Amino acid sequence: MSPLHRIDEDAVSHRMVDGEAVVINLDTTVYYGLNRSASMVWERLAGGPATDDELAEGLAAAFDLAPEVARADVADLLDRLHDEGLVTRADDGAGGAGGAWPAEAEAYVAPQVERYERLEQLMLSGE
Amino acid sequence: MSDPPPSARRVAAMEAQLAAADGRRPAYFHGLTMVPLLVEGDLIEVEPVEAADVRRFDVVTYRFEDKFPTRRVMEIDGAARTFTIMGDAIAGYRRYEVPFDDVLARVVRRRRGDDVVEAGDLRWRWCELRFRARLAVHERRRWRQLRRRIHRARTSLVGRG
Repeated sequence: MSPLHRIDEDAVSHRMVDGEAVVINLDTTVYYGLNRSASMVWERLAGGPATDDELAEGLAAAFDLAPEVARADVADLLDRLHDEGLVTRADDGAGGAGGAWPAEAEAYVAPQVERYERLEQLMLSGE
Repeated sequence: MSDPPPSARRVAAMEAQLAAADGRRPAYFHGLTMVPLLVEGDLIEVEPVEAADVRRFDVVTYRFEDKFPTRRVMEIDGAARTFTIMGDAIAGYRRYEVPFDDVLARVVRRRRGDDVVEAGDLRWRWCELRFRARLAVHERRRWRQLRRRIHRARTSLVGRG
């Protein structure tokens, strides 16, 4: 059985901007921009833990991809998200809410994660 | 090295950082407009808030370009979907009209060294009451000035007639 992955909620916070996820690692304060396909995987994970297979199936359905392409791309993306400390293994519990992913009108671009600089400690302005 | 990120992504990352500003990763306060409740260097904890849950006199943080001004809600205009927001140190009495959608969080706690004050504590409430009292005095003065101006204008018209 393929492992479950989940967003590391203690270490991560995110926002969506025009359908793309912006994710910050709160421990390192490095932030990341995800392209559309990576953001779809991220949104799915935001709904609860998911397996590689589940994510690959969703991505394949959304972009009408060959299953092996989707599996390889999801595996690369998950490796990257784990390396950056954004996603962790969920060894217990069932997968999150499943369901079909909406078909995506945009042409498929393999998931990409762009890493930006660290943010300073947040300042609230009283000027 | 990456190119400078588009500012929308940077601001979104800062908003995500704000949403998680708790005891472990507080934000800090800069400026003078919320003295004495908040002073330069205070560590601030917030909770994300929907506009519908914001109450009059809450201290809120809102987005303004890539900054996060933090002030007190003075009025709520449901029809225009705006908050009127002011600093507690109301010299100048500057008001800001802030759309509902731009308010992101409510301040729930501040730390100054070992001193911690939470929203609703006696000292927090005292700062709120002090603000309200000063505001009332200011509003009365403003009305008096307006009445005087109207009176002067009338007198001048009668004099000419």
